[in-house]
Amino acid sequence: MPDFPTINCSRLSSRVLNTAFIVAIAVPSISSVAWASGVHTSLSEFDACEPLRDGRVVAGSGGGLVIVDAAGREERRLTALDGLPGTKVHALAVAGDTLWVGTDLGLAKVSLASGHVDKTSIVTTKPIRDILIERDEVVVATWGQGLLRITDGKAQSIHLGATPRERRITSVERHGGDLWWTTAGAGLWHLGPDNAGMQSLDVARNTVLWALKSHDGALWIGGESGAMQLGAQQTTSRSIREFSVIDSGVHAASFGEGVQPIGTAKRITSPGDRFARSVGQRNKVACVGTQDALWIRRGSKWKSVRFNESLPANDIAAFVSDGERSFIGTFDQGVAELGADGSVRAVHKSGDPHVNALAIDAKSGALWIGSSTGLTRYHRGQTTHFNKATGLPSDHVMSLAALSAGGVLVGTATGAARVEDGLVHAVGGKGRLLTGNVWAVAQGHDGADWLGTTRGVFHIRDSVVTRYRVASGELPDDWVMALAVADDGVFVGTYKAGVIRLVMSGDEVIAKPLGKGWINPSGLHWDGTTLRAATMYGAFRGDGVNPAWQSTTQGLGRDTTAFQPTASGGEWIVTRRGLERRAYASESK
Amino acid sequence: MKSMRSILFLLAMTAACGGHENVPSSANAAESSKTASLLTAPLSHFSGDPAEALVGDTWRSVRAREPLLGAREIRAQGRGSVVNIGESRVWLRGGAHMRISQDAKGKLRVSMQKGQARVVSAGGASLVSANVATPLVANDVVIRQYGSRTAMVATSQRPEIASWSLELDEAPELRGVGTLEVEEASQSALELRKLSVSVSIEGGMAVTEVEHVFYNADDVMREGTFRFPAPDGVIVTGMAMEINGKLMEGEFVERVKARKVYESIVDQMQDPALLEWQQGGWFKLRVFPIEANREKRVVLRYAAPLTPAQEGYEYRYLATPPEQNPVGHFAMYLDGDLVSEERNMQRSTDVILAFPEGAVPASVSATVGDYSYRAVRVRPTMEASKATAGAPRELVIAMDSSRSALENRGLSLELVSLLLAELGPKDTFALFAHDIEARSGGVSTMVPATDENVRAALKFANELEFDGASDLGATLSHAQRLAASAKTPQIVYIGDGTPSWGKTSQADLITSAAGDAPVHAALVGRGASTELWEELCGVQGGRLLRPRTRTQARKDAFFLARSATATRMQNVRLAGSDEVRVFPGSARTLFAGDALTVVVRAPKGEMPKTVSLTATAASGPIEQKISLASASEYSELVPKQWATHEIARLESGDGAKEDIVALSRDFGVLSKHTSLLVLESEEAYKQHQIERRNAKKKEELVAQNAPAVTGHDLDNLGGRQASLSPDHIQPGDPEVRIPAPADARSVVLVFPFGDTKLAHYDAESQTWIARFLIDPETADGRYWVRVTVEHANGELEEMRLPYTVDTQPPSVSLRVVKLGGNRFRILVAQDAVAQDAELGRASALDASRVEVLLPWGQTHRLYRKEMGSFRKTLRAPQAIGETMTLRVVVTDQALNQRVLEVTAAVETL
Repeated sequence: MPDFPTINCSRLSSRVLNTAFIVAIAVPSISSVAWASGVHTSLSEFDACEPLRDGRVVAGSGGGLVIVDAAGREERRLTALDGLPGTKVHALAVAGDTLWVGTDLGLAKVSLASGHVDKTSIVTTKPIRDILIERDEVVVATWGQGLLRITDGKAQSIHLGATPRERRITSVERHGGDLWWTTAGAGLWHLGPDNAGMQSLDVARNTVLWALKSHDGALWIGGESGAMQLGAQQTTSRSIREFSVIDSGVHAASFGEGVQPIGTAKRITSPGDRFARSVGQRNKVACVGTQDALWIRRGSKWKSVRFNESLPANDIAAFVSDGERSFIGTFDQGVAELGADGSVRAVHKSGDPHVNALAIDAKSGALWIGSSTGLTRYHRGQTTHFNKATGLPSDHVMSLAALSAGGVLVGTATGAARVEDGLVHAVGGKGRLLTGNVWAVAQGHDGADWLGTTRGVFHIRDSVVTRYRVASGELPDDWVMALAVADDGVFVGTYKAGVIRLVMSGDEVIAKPLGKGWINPSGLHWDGTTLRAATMYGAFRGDGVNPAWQSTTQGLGRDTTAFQPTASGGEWIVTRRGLERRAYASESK
Repeated sequence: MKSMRSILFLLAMTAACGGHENVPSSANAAESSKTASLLTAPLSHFSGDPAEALVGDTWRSVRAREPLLGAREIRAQGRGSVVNIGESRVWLRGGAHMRISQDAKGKLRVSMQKGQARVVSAGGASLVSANVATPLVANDVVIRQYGSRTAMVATSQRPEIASWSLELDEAPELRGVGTLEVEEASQSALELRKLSVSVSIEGGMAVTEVEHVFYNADDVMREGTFRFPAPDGVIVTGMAMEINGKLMEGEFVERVKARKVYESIVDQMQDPALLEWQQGGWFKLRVFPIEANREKRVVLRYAAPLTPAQEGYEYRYLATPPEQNPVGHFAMYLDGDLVSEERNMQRSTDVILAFPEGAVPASVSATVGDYSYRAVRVRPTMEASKATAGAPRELVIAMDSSRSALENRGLSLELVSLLLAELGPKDTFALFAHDIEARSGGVSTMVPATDENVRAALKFANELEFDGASDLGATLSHAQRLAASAKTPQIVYIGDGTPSWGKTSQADLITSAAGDAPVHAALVGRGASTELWEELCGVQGGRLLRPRTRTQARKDAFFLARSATATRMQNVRLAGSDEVRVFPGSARTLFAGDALTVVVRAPKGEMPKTVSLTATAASGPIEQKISLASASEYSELVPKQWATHEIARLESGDGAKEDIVALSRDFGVLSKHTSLLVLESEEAYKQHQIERRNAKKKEELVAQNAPAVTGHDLDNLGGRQASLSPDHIQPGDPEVRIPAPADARSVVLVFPFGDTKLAHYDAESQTWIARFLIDPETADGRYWVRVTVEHANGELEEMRLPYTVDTQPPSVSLRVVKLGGNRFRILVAQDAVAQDAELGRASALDASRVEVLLPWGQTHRLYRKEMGSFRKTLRAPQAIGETMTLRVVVTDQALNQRVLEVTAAVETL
């Protein structure tokens, strides 16, 4: 096996990544240009909310930190692009004019006056689930790294835990002089005031405890099995995510029963919003973060906040753009169209929300949607559905490519098909090709069908099938995730063995490795001069000839699902934490 | 599948840091050797398995009855060891490690480093923990050490937790392993080549599947009898046997019909198997044919309650090889995690899995047809016993000497002997025999348990003639009269428990037994009405015991001799109705540490929120509400638990045999009126008009009813139905499909990386679907998704779904064999590696595809002959040399690939 040159999308350790950056060759025409960014995220999954003294409310969501002004309008949204360690915000704590923000990748301080991230404050950690501000220190509960004390920008372990469960800490609280914390599966723990006498209590072991609240001499413990007071019986039986004192009484945010005063069955927020994830109060302002909304109470009325444009979900599985229209397909919240003005509009709401692939019909402009329950053609509000019963090899559609004469090439879990003029034709004849899962499809310039499968690459032209695979020496990995057609062949993106260029020369094929990496489905794009790769570790550009790549600057998240040029020379960077449209400074002018 | 339960097992080992202790714990429990003085008391290895002793700086192996001169530390192996230290005795459970020393006054000091020990000290002793010496809480204690935590409990408070120590004084019993004896031939048991035990935990029950692979080394076909010893409280749920290479599931068939079918088929030289109950808790399986020089695979499935332990529960599997017949390969899995493995196993292996209270779900439920079933484990609040520990014991022993008790005379006498051996000269007792009238042998009143009185009593018992009918009412009344003169007496009835003279109804017998003394019953032999004695002992504050062996009799005697001072709650009853059937339906006595499992069946959607429990405590009658509304895990076992109770109820009363057979078949549990029958083909079942319910249910479980994490990104699963075996996933985005009803209010998933997701209902597949992302940096291993289904009626159901992240390519070895001419065969075999066990693959052989590039440019895919074994016969274009260079690509189920460039030596056939 040849030793492929390394590209900086390897799954290997950061030590290897650093090495890879050294060997990377910059692309001068791009790297010297300043960027202007446009960002789309989904404001949902509100894991934290805190009212501020001035009447504003801060909330942490799956799509970043959002600051809501006293009038209930979105004032500012901060993501990893603004300097947060991660875009997903799980925990918040206010100390004077400083907001401590716990994200999926670490901790940062945000100035509440300026709304800017103090980039010198960033501490990289495992996901932070709770923050406790004490007089001279910050204690953070991490999911995977135990309990940490942050001093002078450095993390020091208070309790690492002997097992993974003990390291999954979900909340931290001071009660009766002791430091208390809950875990996901290892019960309740506490530590004496002199950091001595650490003990675990046999409370709800083997389930997830989520929340702690010390109030009025009592310690409230919340978890998947409900809420209880330390030393007393359980009072409710639903998943409790956070406690807060509202109007002098302890309230619990329950994932299933909304927010309720402890000991009652009365829900205080909207009846439709029973999946509460967070709750907070300061002065007369209270807030509740739910699965889909942020609720704020000023006086006695609860209102949900209307945010500026928000994606249906941050987890984007598919993206397609024809220059005029752009669509995203989400992991589990359906399809949305992005308007040129930045607007977001849900498309085909009644369809399967689990989207795998999208394509725009080259002839009619119809949108093709591939999901785990079949293929849908969506055009001007009309839909046509294709599945196994109508001739597809499988209901599970995994990949799509628009055909130049209209229709689509469809990759499914058990083979591929062409759908043209409303008719389905199995590629290679029904059941003849033992392809396994077809993760990628592409139409060659000569009209041939290319299939990227779990059993290598298939090339089908005039009923002649040629297979390229590890056993015959062309590929380093048979699990092919992406294809991008070139004039002389195809670029092949593999699951974890990088990119290979297959150059067709008569009956010969030359396999040219372009470096290792984890390529995501539909994660390659070739525009004739630049090869873009969307990988589990970010977005990369190469020239398609040399095994050298340039990474983009950090985006909303590492796991990139699509990386494509915009019609005007910018780039779409689509991730599992939202979508970013980057434009050259010259373009944005 | 690798399992949760490796996670659970680890949890069990590590979670013991919390709890209720009377001994201080410390991060460093190691005793400083400087504080220990030399041991002057004589030390010897008394009995049990060989142990290791630290003498000087050297560990050496010591066997039973060897002196341990100069030993300071002992590590027990196998089942464990018993050590005498002067007048004191220490029982070390297998795996335990203890330091032993004396203080300045010569008093014994023990320091547990690891594991469990029982210490009976003479003249006082102390436990050293964290360099602090604490007096033992009693002269007879059980000590347990997990990490830095030490726990100590007096055996008088919880006698049952010391029961393991009693086994060390006895030869190992045959347990957990079946034997297959052939008829004619040498009458010997067949070689047991493989014993594979898979365990999973559902509520307070352990579900066990035992796979035996026997080998018939004879040159002739045989019929054989497979015998398997059943654990207490067993529910037999299935049996399968390999016929013509296919594992055929057995069916529950009415016993007489099953036997007729079996015998008719044996006459036709076909392949049936028949499993029946046997007296004494054995299953008997008749197997035919056992081919000459061939293997025979037999699989048995059963569920049994977890055993209460010092902290939480334990599951114990004592694999004892048949005499002079080692087991070729023993492996035990906990939810797919390999927890124990041994090749050529020659001596007993005692595998103990510990589960803290919180690790065993307190509530499990299921809905089948029109009914919901729920099993809830509770520990009602108890008032402490007012009896003084160490007070003289007062025992009245009533021995049934009627004709029907003759069959088990030996065990009855053994129990009497063991009971009397437990007493000391300060204790008192009375012993009488009873058929239709009482007889006594010089101990007709309460007398001190002196050697002389005990000898006289035993002589009387040994010389008894067992004859006549049994007047149980008179026996119990007589026992209460004898006990009336004592302060804290205990009555122990020993016999078959079947009344045949005088009062015979349950109500009359309970009236006859009424009195101040608790009544225990040790039922020996068959035919006894368990329900009658459960009720009687429950009302009278005693316990029903069913000794079947000497070791069990010993454990029972140990318990009975200590039960007088144990905290208890008697006449515990649960309130049910015709619509809402609640078990246990008869009275129970709960002792300290006992849990009560309440099993309820209610019409679907009408499960009550609570069930009322009434009982009599030390201060008088009490009532408590047991909540049924807490979150509950799904368990398909709950309906079987309920059916087992219902069958027992019917068997003890006037239940019709047809009803019992119907319940047994409907719920898939064995009864005394049904057998499990395996036939060789589906046609054979049709021919004998036996409906394939059990096999169908098993298939349905896999295909539909069980929730699954499906790797839709995987080649091996794509396009198929959801599977319970998604053991092979690489980082990516798999789907979870939950077969919850369409009208469920919500299906919520909590992932092991902390995210929470709501599933969406997909009408086409009629499942709830959610997706999640496995980060590429996720370490290989087993993970769990917690699923909560909120049903339309608000009822919550919980499930835990496992998935395994596997990024390791398979390891293989290759052979090229020349067959003749230019023909040759390529053989590729996958190697099982340690990592596979860590990933918990029950079968580590997960290679799914092997492709080979030959030296002349052809590529071939090899055929899979069996798991992990691939081959293909090919023809070379020219003569084959001594070596052959090949490129081999092996792909496993998770699509990990191993590429080998090998120059293999060509072997000659």
